[in-house]
Amino acid sequence: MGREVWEEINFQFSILNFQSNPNFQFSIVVINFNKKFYNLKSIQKAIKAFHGLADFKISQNKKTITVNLENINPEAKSAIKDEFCNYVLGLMKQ
Amino acid sequence: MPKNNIKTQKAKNQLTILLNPKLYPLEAIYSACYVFIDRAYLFLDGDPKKEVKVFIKGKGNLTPKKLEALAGEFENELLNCALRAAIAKNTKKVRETIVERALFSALPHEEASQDEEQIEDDPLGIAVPWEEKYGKK
Repeated sequence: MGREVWEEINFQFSILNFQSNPNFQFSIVVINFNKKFYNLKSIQKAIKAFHGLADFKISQNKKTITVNLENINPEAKSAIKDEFCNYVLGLMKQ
Repeated sequence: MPKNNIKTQKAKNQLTILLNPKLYPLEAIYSACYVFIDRAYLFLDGDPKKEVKVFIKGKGNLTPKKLEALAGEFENELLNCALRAAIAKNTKKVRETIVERALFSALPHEEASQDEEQIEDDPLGIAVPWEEKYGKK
């Protein structure tokens, strides 16, 4: 159950001859926020704060707000998803 | 602890706490999460009317014992926040009255004494005693 929420879709593939680096990794992180607990305003504020670390795309449907993170800074890659979720939660409290 | 109030599901370095929103208001859940933001990664999901799921993930690798302790502390904090929320709700009117009075008493003296001045203005001479106005019998 937890895996669905903390879902991280990693597309890892090698692109031959890409900048002479065959081990280049391309990753996308997808976070689904439940609209009953998170509002768009807080997510947008969080994106403003994190904008230097990745490219963010927001989309939403009736129940969820989906945030796609692309071109993630390699240094922030391991923790950005969790830190972003915590930041949004902090904003919700405020 | 009654089974339906708090349920805990453990996975690798993370656990899920299922809460009954009738016992723990959403405001209390947000507050408890906020307290733990520096110690763990938290995420909310579920339905605020039926069941709230709190996903807690340790910052760094936590042993199962530490994870369990973290869950226990979170539940205690949750209770604390729920109590605070209940007290805040029950004493809202009293607090508002106290603040109102404090603000009123902090008004500048001129404004506060306007009423007294109005009483002193007596164009019809109503406030003058009978004896002064018509003399003694």
